Parts: sequence; C-alpha cells; structure tokens
Amino acid sequence: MITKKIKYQVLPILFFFTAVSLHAISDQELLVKVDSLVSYYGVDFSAEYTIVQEKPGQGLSKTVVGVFRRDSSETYVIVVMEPLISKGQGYLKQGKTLWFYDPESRYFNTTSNTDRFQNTNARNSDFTRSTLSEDYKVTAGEDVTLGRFKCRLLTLEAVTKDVTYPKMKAWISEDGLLRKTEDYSLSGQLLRTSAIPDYYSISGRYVPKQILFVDALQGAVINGKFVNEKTQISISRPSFNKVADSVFSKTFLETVNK
Amino acid sequence: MEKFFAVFKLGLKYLYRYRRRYGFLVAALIFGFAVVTFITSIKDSMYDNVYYSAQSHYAGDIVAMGYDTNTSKSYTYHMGQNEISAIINAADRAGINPKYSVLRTIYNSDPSVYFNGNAIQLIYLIGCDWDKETYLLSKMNFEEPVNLTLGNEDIILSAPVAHQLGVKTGDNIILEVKTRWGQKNTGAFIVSAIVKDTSIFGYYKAYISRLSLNRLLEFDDGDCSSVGFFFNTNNAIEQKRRQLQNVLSEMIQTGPLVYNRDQLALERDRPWEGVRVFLYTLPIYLLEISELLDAMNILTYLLYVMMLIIILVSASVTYRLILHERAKELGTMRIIGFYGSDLRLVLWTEVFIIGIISLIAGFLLAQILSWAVSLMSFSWFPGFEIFMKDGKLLPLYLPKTMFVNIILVFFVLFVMALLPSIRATRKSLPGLLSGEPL
Repeated sequence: MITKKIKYQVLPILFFFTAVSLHAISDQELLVKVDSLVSYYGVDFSAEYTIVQEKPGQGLSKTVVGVFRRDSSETYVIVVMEPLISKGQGYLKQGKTLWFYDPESRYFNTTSNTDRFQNTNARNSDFTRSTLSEDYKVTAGEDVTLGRFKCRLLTLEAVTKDVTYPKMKAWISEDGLLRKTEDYSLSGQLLRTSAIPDYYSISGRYVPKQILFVDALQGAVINGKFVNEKTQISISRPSFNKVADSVFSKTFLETVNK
Repeated sequence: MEKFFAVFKLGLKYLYRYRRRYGFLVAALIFGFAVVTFITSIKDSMYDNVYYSAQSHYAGDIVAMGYDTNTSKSYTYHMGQNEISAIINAADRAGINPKYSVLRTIYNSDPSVYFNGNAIQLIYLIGCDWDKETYLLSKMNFEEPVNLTLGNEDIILSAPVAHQLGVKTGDNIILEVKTRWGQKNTGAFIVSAIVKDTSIFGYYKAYISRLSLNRLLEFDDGDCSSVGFFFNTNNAIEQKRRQLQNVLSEMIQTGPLVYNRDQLALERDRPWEGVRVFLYTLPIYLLEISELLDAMNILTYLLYVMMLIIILVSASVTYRLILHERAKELGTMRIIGFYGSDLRLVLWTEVFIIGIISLIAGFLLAQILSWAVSLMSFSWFPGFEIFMKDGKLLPLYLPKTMFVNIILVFFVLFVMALLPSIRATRKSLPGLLSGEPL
C-alpha cells in the first residue's frame, strides 16, 4: 500500500519539484548566470592564449597572445607574442573603441569588435566579457543532451544592433556554463559553431580551458569530403591577480616590445 | 581650272624628279607624325578606358552620393526616399537634362562570397536595377553570352573573383555582408554572368539587384547610395554640377562642391548628422590619372615640338638648297611665260603633296606601332589593366587630337616653304639665271 502510494503520489511530486528546481530560474536568468560565471568584476584577469588555426589543405598556423582584462571598466589589452612577424601588435579596448596597434607603422587604428582576430575564426568580440543576457533575448528553450552534458538549448535573438551575430543557439550545461554556440546570420545562415568543453574553476570563477571555433562556410574538400576551417584557443596560466593600470593604455602597447 | 590642274601635275612631276632631295625631309616628317600620333592616340585610348571604367563603376557623369551617419560606422553610403526625390526634382528644376538616371546601392565594407569552402573578400558590391542599366550591362565584356533578364537572386561576378572562387555560371554562392548596424547577414545567389574586368574598379567586384542588397543591408526597398546622371557628351559637366548643386542645396543637406580626392576626404571627415549628399563628377575620382595622362600629353607634344623644330631647321636648309639648285630652272620657266604666282603654286603643290605623303605614311607607321604594342602584355605593371580594353592597349584616334597633329605638320611645312618660295619666285630674272643666292 505504502509502496503504491510512493509510486503514484510521491514520485510524481518529487519529479515535478525536481523539474521545477531545474527550471527554477527562467531561461533569461540562465543567460545572466552564464554571463556572471565568466565575467570577472572586482578583479583583473590575465592569461596566455594559444590560438591554432587549421586551414584544410594549408596546414596549421599558431598565434600566442597575452590577454589582460578588467571587466569592471570594460577594457582589455591583447599583446601578440607569436608569430615573430606579428610580434608587438596589440589591441586595446577603451569603452566602445577598439584600437589596433601595429609596431611596424607605429600607428593606432580603430578596428571593429566584429572583425576577425588576426585573420582566424575568432572575432575580436570573443575576448570581451560575456554579455549574452544584455545582447540577446531567449525565443525558445529546450532540454537536450550534448555529449556528457545535460544542457538547456536556448534560441537567442539579438536585442541590440551592436552584436556580430543577430541569431544564436546556446547550449548551457546544468552548472550554468556555456558549452556550445551556433552563430547565425540575420537570414538564418549558420556561420560558425563554437565549443567550450572544459573550464578552469578558480575561486568560484570559471575560465574556459579551450574554445573551438568551426567556420561553417570556409573550408576545403579533402578526399571528397568537406573539411571546415577551425580555430582552437587554448588558455593557459589564468590569473586573477591585479594588473597594473598602466597596462590598459596605448603607451603600454607602444613600449611592450621595446 | 585647267591651268590649276596643269600646275598641280607639274608640281607632282617636279616632286618625283627631286625625290632624293626631299627624302630626308619626308622621312623626318613621317617619323615625327607617326610617333606623336602613336603616343597621343594611345594616351586618348587610356583616358577613354579609364573614364568608361569609372563611369560604369560610379554610374554617371554626375553622381549624387549620400552619406548617412545613422549607422554603426562613421557613415554608410545611403539615402532615403526624401533625398532621392529631392535629387530627381532638383535635376528637373536645374534643367541639366540627363540622358539616363541610375540609382545604385554601393557597399564596400568587405563583403565576402563563399563557394565550396572558398571565400573571397570583395572590394565593391554594387546593387543595381538590372532593367535600367542595360546600357551599361550591354557594354560589359562577359566570359560567356549572357541573358540580361536578371532577377533578385542573380549575381554577376568579376572574372578574378569567379576564378579564385572556382565558380562557373549557374553555381550557387553565399554572399555575406554586414547590415547598416553591423550585424552579419547572408544571401544565396546564382552566378548569372562572369564579367571580364580586371581593372582596379572591377577586380574584386560583384553586382546584385538593388532590392536584394537593400534588404541585406536593412535599407528600405526603394533606398539607394547614389543617383547617377549620364549625359550625351561630357562637355559642360562641371557647369551642370554647379546648376544642380545650387538647386539641391536649397532642398536637402548637401556637402560643398569638391574638386579632388583630398577635398573630398576632408569634407567626409567633418561631423554631420543624418544624410548629406555630395555631387561628384568623374574627374574628381580620376584627377590623379587625368593629371598623369595630361603630363604624358605635355611631354609628348614637347617632344613633338622639339622634333618639329629640328625638322624645320634642317628642312629649311634643305629646301633652300633645293630651290638654289632649281634657280636656273625657275628662271627658264619664267622666260617661257610662267608668272611668279604659277611658280609659287608649283612649289607649294610639291610641299602640300610632301605633307600628305608624310601624314599617310606616318599614320600607317603609327598603326604598326600600335599593333605591336597591342601584342604586348602589361601584366607586370600592377593596375595597368584600367588603361586597356579587353586586355589590350589599343589606339583611339580622336578627331580633335588628329586635327592638332595634322595642323602642326602643315604649320612646319608652311613656315619652311613660304618665305623661300616667295623669294625665289619674286627674284629678278637675271638674278635667277645667274645663280645668285636666293
């Protein structure tokens, strides 16, 4: 009798509450959580990014950069360390302006967040803090499984005109971390897929270990099979130690390699 | 009349008799005329090709270009219905009477085309009204015969883009642009034609319908970037621009008239709000090229004048010698009843025929030079394609240029022959017969 009661009354209730707790926060709130986990307010962030681009049939190219972020003031600095030909090039984001410094010409030029980073499949906007909840609204959500992760798949539409991709699909695992995105054009063409399989967990903050970008349109046919162009970013030596104020300046970029 | 023909015939006979004496003079004139005709015709052809390329690229002899600050960048090439109507009305009121008016949407913020994984970044993406641009489309040099009934899903690619992308007519490609707000947008298009244009204007270029491009950029359907006016001749274009500017500046926000690229850049860098319309003529875009060709022209004519001076001096000496040798003969002709004017006519006939022979032979030599140059490849010269037609450097014989060249030849002959011939025919009979200097 008791077993029957558990089976027909308690289990459905438990199941209901479990489901509710899983979706205790709305999809839009989930986006806020995603942003908060990979945004670093109150501290500075620095790390070394190794960017390896694979162009099918053309081999690999490697770029190593140093990234310094201060999310509280919406600024970041990126210094190219490898390859030798690009060494000393740098990016400085001040407010809404993104400067690119070329040590050859010794000039700063403005560039766009939507432009490719060092001609890879990453965009300049991929190095800023996550602003999904500010830039997008959720138009649909469903529970899916992505490999070993149980995820919430959100279909997003841009609420601001400032973003590169007006439509997006985002896979968010139960721990609130972004695992995969598909970036679409305004007309609905898939342009890029990105995957973040692992994160570092440092004092309650999360830093991606690797990010893989797969270009949906660029690639080559190798042995009769279409192979997409890919870029993998490996992040090492993440740190939340204080970065000197002078780093977030044009002078730093001008002098860093002297 | 009979006498005139007789004298003319006599002149021909004398010319034949003294052909060895005139040999140097004729050779020098042929060479000089050939070189100058060759250089000036090539220069005119180069300018004509540049002008045509620019005219079809900017779509008009006068172009009203809209700069709109309502965008994610500092400005975008855009104007709405208000500006378009104002420009069309202003053209009517100013009475500039264009032959054609063409509306285009122009996009040059790194559009890309994709095919089979290949990507090519374009420099220019032009949105045009296919049905209203048949005049320009029919002048294009396509790789294959094309049906010019094109729709909103069609795209015309320049040959370098098509070849690098690996597409052929009928293939489907994806075009990627950024909307006026900076978001990525794409469209699928069918390659309907491949145009042979390797000039700086056409190297990385594609054409789609204006409506398709407007929708990709999130403009309104009827919007455009430029309104171009074509005229029957390119005379008084600057005057027409001023007339249009006077009327238009009372109707909408316009930029000042600019006369070169530096002024244009300076004006574009000034801050403004909304849409500002600038009126351009092609020489503004082509000023550097125009100045280069003008310098080339001046050098050519300087060379020509120097050659003519050398020819004039040496020919005058030669001619005086010839007349001196013929003094007794001229005296004999006077004795048998020729008047001085008849003798002058004989001498001038000789000179006139020398001129005609030099012009014909010089023109033929220029043709041979041009033919030889047309066989040459200029691929080693970056950007030189803009001066060529169908990949060849061909001459263009403009009546005005040819007239100037011909007049210069006859001017030399006139100066050379006039005084000595008058002196020889007015000299006293004993002086002529005794062989006194002329």
